[in-house]
Amino acid sequence: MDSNNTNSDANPHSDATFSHFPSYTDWHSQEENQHGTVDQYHDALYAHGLHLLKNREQPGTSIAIFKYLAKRDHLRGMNAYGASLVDGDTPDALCDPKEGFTWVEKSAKLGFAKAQSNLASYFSSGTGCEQNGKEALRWGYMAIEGGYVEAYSVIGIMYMQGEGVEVDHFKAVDLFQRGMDAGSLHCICKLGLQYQKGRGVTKNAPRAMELYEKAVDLGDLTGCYYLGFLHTEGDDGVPKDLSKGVRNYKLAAQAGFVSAIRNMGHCYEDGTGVPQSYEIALQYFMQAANKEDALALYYLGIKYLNGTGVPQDYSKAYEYYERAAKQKLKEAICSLGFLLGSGLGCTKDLVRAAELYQQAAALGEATAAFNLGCVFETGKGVPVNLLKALDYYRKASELNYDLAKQCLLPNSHLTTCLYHTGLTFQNHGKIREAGDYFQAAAQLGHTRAVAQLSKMYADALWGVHAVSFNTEMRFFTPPQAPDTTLSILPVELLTQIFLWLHPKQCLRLRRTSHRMLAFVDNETFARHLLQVNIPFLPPQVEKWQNWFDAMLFHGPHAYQVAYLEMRLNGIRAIRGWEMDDGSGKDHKMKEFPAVLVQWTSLTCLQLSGCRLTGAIPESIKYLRGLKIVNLSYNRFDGTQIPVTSIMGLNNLEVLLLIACGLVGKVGLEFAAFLESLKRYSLLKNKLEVETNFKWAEKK
Amino acid sequence: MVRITSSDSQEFSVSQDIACQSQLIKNMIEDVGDADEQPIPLPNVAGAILQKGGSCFPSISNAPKLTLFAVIEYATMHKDDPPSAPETDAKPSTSEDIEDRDKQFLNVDQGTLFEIILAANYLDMKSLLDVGCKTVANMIKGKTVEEVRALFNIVNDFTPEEEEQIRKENEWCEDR
Repeated sequence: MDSNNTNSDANPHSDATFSHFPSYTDWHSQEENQHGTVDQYHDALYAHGLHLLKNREQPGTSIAIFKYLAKRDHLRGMNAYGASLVDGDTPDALCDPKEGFTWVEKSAKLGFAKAQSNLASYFSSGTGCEQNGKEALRWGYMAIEGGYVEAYSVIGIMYMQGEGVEVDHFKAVDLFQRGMDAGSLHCICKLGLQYQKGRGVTKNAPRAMELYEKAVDLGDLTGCYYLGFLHTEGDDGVPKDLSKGVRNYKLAAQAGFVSAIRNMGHCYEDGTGVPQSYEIALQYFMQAANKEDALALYYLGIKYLNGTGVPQDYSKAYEYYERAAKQKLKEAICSLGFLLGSGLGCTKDLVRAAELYQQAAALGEATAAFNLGCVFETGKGVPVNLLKALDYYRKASELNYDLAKQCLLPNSHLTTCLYHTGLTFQNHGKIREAGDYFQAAAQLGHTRAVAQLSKMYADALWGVHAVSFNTEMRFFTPPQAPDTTLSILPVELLTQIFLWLHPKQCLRLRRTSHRMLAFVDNETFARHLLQVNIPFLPPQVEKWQNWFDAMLFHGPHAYQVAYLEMRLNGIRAIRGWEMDDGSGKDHKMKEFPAVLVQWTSLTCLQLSGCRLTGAIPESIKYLRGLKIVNLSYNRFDGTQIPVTSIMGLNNLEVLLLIACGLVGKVGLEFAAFLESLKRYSLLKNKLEVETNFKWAEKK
Repeated sequence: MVRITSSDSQEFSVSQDIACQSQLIKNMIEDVGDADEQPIPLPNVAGAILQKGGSCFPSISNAPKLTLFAVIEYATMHKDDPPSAPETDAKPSTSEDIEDRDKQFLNVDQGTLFEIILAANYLDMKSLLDVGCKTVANMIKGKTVEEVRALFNIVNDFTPEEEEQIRKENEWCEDR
């Protein structure tokens, strides 16, 4: 057919023949056309082209006719040729929206109203040109003025879908209504749709049904599709009627509506209103797929991938997915990525798989976002990037993808990896990176990461790290506090909980907050805690014995008191506590435990080598029961012996104060007292001795 | 049957032997008598917000808030337990002694756990209160101060000087 035109381009009168249609010369020579002009010939030819197009006969011929006419400045021909190019409705799928647009524009500028309407719709959707709502409206209204009523539906759809203008359903309904009144066919269905959805007008499904039926009566088979949908699904006031629905789908499908064809496929597959049949369903899907319907292609891909109703065939699945993906169907893009990533039906290509996942994720596909998370976590096709993996899992989880939620749990593989990556960075001194990873892990609830982070934060506050943290570093912000938590529980419940803990753990928690400090240091609680714990201590566990002894010296006052109450009521002696616990750590020296003096029934006080500092308190005089006092090898440096207090101890038998750094004078009176004891020693002190006193010791 | 209303006005019908595991309800029934079928109001316990369909206590963090329902579920679970033996001095229980089904039951988010403890305390249900407290104690065990703070959202309200002071005081009991 091309050859038909090329040699006839120059001469409008030259002969060109199209199948079943005579050339101009032949036409003119026919009897009834003897007086016909060239224009009349063109009109007749155009009518023939339209006839062919409508009946889907010889599609190549109809477009050749339109092209022939377009080159001869036939307005309708120009428009038809342009529209065919834009739709790509040509035998060899020749699709050239830009070229088509220029032809339609030319026709529109020459005043053809239908072309103006087409132009409006191209401008509104940006087909073959830049999207331009203003231009679309201008051409649309021009077409209406020119008497082309279908332009109402073009502008109405713009407002309904918000193409190039703000969505305005009221305006859309108004336009559809006016269009329908003016005789537009397309407006009827659209108005029905607005009634069915209740947009810009009160929802009224029966009214919608009436409108669809009216459209069908007037010859707009789109109405069949809508009726099919309405009847198969049912709606307020319109009962579900499957057979009616399928009948309408069938009509629409026969008229070539792709969505209707696809839905017929679904009906047969599920046995909705028709006997279930995979074969017929497949035929329908194939038919829709041949029209490059993205969803139909995608379903076919799924069918071949899973082998439902067809033999399993990965390469066919790949082919269909690829065709669907070309139409930017996000599910198809994701599935294509999956096939590429696992090498099903194609050569394995991890890099391209990752790219496809990225594309689909950007379009909002949850599965793709999750897959992308996996890809970044494992480094398949991309460099490993845990933080990116986290981002994508989060995205998938926001889209309610359950598997992604599992990846965001505190004990997930990702969380652990984040924490350990943080540790690695920390070990290499890369504090900022470490912080980022710890933070990510902490946000997922990894407790050790939280601890690391708070430690880093504290270090930064105290200037341990040279790196400046300041404001740039995003520190872990604690999750929204639950309404009820440990810190606000009433004291009686705190007690019940803390009584299950070892005193050591409790005492450590003094550092947590002011409230905890006050709670743990409370005397009643201390007494309670020790009573629960001490009677059950395995006596052989020396370590704990030592620990409790240490508490006597170093613990908070409440615990000293409570411990003494418990221990000393029965036992009448305090054994010295070995300060050297084998750790080689030099313990901070403590003063003589003043609380001891509350223990009046004490008979034996053995605290040698305890590295006690300060002075021996005067209040020792209250311990009237004391028989043995051994405070040797402590560091009461530069203090005096509380002479009067000690002399008040009537029952004293042994007094050992060797190497205590004591100073002062030992008077005769005290010397006499010492002599009355069974045993004493004050060696290795800096004491001045009265004359006549034989300073020594008594063994 | 005993009718119980929660603070958010949800009503529950519970059989008497289950309801009476709560000492509080038991006392109330004894005081009032169940003749007049008045629902027993529990001003301090929030009602259940039932999760859609099925399990009421998924172990995820946005589980429903505590709930009288949870407490009733626990009571139902334990209705055939023998009455607790009087405390013996022999072997003390430790916080690890939690039955598996109780562990499962208390595998909930923190907010819910504490609400259950508060409710158990209010309703005077000793066994539930005990497992609740044990569970929290187990959460604390073996954790550093920083971890405990993070776990329970406790704000460190010490000044650096105060903290340093307490750190020194506590030095002797820190593990190394």
